[in-house]
Amino acid sequence: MHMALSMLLNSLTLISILLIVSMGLAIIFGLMNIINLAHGEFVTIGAFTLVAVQAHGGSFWLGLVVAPVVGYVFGLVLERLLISRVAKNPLHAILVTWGLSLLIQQVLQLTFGPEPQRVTGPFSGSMSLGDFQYPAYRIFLVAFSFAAFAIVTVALRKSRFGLDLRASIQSAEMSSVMGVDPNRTNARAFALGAALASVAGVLIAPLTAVTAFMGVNYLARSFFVVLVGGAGSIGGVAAGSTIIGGLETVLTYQIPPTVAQASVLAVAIIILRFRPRGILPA
Amino acid sequence: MTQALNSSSPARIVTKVRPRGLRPVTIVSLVVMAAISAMSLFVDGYTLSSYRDVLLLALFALSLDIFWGRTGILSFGHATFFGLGAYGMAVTTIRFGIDPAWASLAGLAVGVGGAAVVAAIVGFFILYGGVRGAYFTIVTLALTIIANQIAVGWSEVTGGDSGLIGVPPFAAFGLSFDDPVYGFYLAFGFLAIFLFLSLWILGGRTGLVLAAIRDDEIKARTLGYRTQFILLATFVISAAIAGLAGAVYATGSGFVAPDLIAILLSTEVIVWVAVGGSGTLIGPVIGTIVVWQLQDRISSINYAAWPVAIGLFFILLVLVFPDGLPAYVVRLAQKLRGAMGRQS
Amino acid sequence: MTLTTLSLVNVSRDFGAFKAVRDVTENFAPGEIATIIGPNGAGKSTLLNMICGTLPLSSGAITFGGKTVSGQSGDKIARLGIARKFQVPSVFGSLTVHENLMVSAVRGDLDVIERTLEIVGLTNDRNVRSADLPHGKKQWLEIGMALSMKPKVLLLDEPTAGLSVEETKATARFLTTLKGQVTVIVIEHDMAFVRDLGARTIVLHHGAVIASGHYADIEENELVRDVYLGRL
Repeated sequence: MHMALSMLLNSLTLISILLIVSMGLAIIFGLMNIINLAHGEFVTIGAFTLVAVQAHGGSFWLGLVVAPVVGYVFGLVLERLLISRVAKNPLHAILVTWGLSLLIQQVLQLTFGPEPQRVTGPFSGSMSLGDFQYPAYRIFLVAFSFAAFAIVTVALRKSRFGLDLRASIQSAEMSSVMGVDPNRTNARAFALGAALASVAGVLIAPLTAVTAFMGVNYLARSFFVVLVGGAGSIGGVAAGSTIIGGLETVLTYQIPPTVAQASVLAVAIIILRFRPRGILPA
Repeated sequence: MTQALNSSSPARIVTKVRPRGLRPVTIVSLVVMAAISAMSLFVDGYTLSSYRDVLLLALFALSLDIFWGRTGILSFGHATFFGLGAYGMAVTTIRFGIDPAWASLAGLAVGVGGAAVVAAIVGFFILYGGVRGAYFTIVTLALTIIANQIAVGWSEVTGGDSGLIGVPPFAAFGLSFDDPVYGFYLAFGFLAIFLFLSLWILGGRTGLVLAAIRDDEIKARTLGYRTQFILLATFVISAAIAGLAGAVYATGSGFVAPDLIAILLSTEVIVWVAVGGSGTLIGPVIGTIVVWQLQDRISSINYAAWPVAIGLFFILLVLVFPDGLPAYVVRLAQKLRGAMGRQS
Repeated sequence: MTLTTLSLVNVSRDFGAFKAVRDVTENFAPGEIATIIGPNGAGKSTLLNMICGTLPLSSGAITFGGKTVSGQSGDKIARLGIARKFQVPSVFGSLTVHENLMVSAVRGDLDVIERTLEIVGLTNDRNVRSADLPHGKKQWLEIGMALSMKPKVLLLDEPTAGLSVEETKATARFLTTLKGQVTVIVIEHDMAFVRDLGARTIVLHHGAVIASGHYADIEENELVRDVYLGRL
């Protein structure tokens, strides 16, 4: 019983992380059809923002507020300078964002040094349900992620920007004819994606060692979430996160983690065979 | 009038398109290969061994060009195949105690076979599912990330982070290629064979069909071509050649480590092909040799400098030279000629 | 060259609630030339798409020489001998005229290619990059590519779109020469062309066949006239 409960909560933890990381990617991919190989680095930037904040005496909560701002600005600048130039050519987008990711990794490593950084989470200790114990921070993470997901989903449905975004995903031409400025929409969408990934970075940081290369892991998984779930749709991200996150966690209980990840890859490829646009495409 | 399409003489089935004589690219290839083999006479054993490595990496680049250069679909996971070849050779020759006379050939079979099988399975699901372009690239990217994690994690077999040492030099049919000169010529031989073979085959109708599929896959299907199968076959062949390069590479260097099956290697090979000009076959070979020299020099100054250089290179490549350096140089030359022509 | 009959039996296609094609039953005899006309949205292209396998049927069946063709993949149907020219000229832009034909011709047969070039009048353009061809020549190249497959059935979707009056007349003359050798099914809007062709005409309206017969009779048909509202 306890096993099942902790497996469930572990799954939810991974699913939640993937949810936030992938949401931004789904928008970027769904709207601009850009493969952003630097997306993992936005996560890393978020984590390092927390490191920097805490190094200057700030709290976790401060980091949680500052990181998305940092991510947003960074994403905005990148989009205007580089991404917008390669938006038309997927190969170029891949190469440029990959180059960017290498640069960011090296710059982070130069700035903060090669040693893994540690941050302190806001809650230590566990919550108990009867005689079942589970780390309080993880429960917070799950709750926060779901809340953030819900808020962003609602905001996208109700706000002007969200409407523009969804219209542009449906048809960029049509929406520009109706007065939606594609450049601004693209820039803000990209920045939003970066901001979300940075938030994920802050959330992940207390659970792991923060290094310049931590983003790569989340890159592959979040792409799978988007591919399997369906690009450009919020429902797709939810479906994809649940499948990828859930499957990986469950499998890791039985088999070594590397085999688990390979199996998830295999399942994803098989799903793609039959549903090349994902389970719930836009 | 379609009866006019029938002739009384037997049909001239064609594989070649070009008029008599060699194409420029073939001539360049012959010159380059001749120069390389001539160079071997003037250098010492140590340098010759590193040339051997470069030639195998050039073969690796050639294998990527066969797929990417012709179908236009970018594989970000070719290092998986190179690495599978290398690890296949290493594991077979080290862990199974096979008779040394056979071991290399067995390793080759495992390495090449492993790469081909993985490519066939992954390729089958992706290509027949209609996945192309960006999605295909992402899947191959993920493949390499995971293959790398397996290489690091499955230490009982792969030796984990440190890899495996003690891969014996290539030996077959009584010949051992441990001497640097023999090793060099083994690599040179493989490169030459596959270079000229692909120049020949891709220069004919096969190349045209691939170009047609790249232009308009649906149209190609309405002409009766089994396009998914053709793409899959090209992918598998490309992977097998990459595996071959990796397997022989392992016998030369004597060890394998996870960086042979890593994303960085996948991006490096893309750089080599891009610099040389994708689709030209000889271009990537030249690109590998040129860039590798640079890579070697920069890495020895500062280990971290190389990833930064590559990162900057990609950004520049896209913003300044989208068609690869040779095309950029050609255009520059044309502009210069135009400018000079106007002056006179 | 043995030819076979193309049969459509109760062929229908729905897109949700919209019935694009309803219960079309027609037989095309080997070597016959037939035109399909009808107002925009009548379902003509949809029908063609189903014959060549690009679109699956919602119900009914298409057989060719007794073998069921509906449900097969597009490339398989092409290999069975059904060739198609698209509405928008589609050629392999990066290849030259000659190279395009190399890809399309059966086994790349050089003689077939030469004769095809003569037939479509592109002998002097053989080394021109096909993307650089003017619209009319692209149409001819595409027709040539379809012919070089030595097909049994040739489906042409608006072959005279964008052609001059002279070119349109030439196309009609040319297609007439194919009678008896290739089954030709042409979708057209250009009534002068359809008249020149003087073949069996099938009129489609809202996805259903409302008239079928020799063009001269169709021209007189009251119902057809109403449908076209005197546009004939």
